[in-house]
Amino acid sequence: MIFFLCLCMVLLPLLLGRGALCLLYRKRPVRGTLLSDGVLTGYLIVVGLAGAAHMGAVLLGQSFSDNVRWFLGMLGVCAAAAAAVLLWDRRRERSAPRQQDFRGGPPINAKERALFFAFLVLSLLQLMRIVLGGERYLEGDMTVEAVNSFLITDDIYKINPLTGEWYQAGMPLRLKLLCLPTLYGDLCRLSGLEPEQVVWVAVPMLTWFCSNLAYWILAGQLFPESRERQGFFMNLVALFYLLGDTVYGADGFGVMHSGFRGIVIRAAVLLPYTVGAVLRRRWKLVVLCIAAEACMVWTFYGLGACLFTAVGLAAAGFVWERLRGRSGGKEASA
Amino acid sequence: MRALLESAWLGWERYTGNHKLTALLLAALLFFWFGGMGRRARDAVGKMAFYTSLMTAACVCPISAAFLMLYQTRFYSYEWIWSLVPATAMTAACGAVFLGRIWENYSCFSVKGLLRACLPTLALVLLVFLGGSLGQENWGGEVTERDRERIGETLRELEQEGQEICLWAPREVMACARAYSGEIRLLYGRDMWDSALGSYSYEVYDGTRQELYQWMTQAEESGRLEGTMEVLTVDETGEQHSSEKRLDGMACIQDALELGANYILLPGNMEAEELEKLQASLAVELRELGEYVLLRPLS
Repeated sequence: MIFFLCLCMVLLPLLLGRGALCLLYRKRPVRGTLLSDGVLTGYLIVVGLAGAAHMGAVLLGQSFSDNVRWFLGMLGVCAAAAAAVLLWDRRRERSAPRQQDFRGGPPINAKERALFFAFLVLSLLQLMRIVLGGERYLEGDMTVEAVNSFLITDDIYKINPLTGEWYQAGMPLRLKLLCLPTLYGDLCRLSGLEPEQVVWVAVPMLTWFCSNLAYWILAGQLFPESRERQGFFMNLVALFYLLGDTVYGADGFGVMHSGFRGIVIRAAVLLPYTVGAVLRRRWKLVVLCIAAEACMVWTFYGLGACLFTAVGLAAAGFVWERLRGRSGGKEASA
Repeated sequence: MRALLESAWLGWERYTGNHKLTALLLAALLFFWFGGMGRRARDAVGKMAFYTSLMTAACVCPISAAFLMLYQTRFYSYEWIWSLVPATAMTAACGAVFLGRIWENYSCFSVKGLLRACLPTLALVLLVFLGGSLGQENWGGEVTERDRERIGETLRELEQEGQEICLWAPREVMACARAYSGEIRLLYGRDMWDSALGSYSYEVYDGTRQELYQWMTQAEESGRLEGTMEVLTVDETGEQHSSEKRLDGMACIQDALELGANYILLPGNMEAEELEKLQASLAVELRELGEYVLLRPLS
């Protein structure tokens, strides 16, 4: 059931994402975009919809069941719209020349096959660690308790998740507005799975998968001319994840032991995807990443890591291009 | 600001104390700038390297690190400012270029390839392994998965009685109970000992609940009803004084019952004579339940 839930959590975002990319980048037929872009964009949209439903429920004092209905309703409408957009795009594409994916090229050689096999082995080890490893880092986290309290009381943050008693003094609004526990509660309600299974197994698997997609996009951007170097890149990322497993604060630690936390999803998925989007100058995707982070992590005192990274990388890129241009000019004159 | 600067200064030591993954990043940046990679790098790699270099310097220098911690709000500790550095991507990119150059002209199935390409590759992989913690975990999950299953069985037995549960128990049980079931109420939660959870609400535990936690903690170690807790007081001059306060197990259990606890799990190492004293003095029933002793008020 967990694998089936994960499959739905990939296919539905893929539909939403492809539809969204078709609208955001109208000039380019959607077949020219990567599947990985589709899944990640769809994931950002799902988080955004969950955030909107959650915020509405919290500010209007609605029940958790109302929140689930709103979320499903918005998801259904967006999925139907995405399907319609994709159908329209298919008709449009028939009249436009077919664009090749920039990853196309010569057939895979033996080295690339060996790298792919090595990546597969490392990935399976990581997946086994997440599903069977068992140890979760729960310091400072009450996600499962919060989801349990939503499901039992049908209210959002009316009772203290840690004790089960009614709140006397309440909790800060800046934390109440973060939507991940409600999103996980929605998944529990829809799938019938226990919160521990959704939060501690299914969601970390999805985070791991999306993280690999984000790095895969980055690999294609950094080494577009060499599949071999893309393969080395992905294998090294997988190795860092496995090594960081025992090291608190490392990316691998977060993905292996607390892939349900907003701060880990930001570090492992949103930030690499933001870097890839900035390097590709896909500014609309950057905006989606910033908005998704605001739903998951942003505490309203800072402006978020995705915005900082996007602005910083764009500024650094601008300076790099100027320096490159100047040194190219000097070499030419010499 | 002073506290932030101190945290930024010490944070770097703590962040790199248990692993050397950051050293790999610094080595990768050195390879980029001085190993000939920078000159031939594509724009995308160059831009990412330039940004990574600037941000790494900002995270290492305590003053700029303190400003980054201010930006990311004091809610998060020092190590999270490293999220702004694409360390994994940059280190992997430099490693990919290094390996790509080695493997450019050699097939992996020839003897020449084995010697000239595999050995540096294995050396790099070994270096990456040495950058980790070598398998030594520097963190401990509060409750292991095996303990969680054992505690789950105990809680299942409590649920089978069919009554609403308001529980007071040793710390490991209190840590698992709300995750196990949202129907179990607790006298206090994990925020009693996990200060990071304390910032999730404005709730404050009263003195009685704090005494209950202190008594249970010392009972787990001593197995006795009598215990002590440290009390900190501040006098008129602002000076802090520490004193010991006696904790009486009987009184704590009575307080817990008055607060509404109808299921109390005592540590399994409670001495038999202590349990007899309890049964004689209070209208309670005691029985063994797994690794604990269940105390229930007689109705």
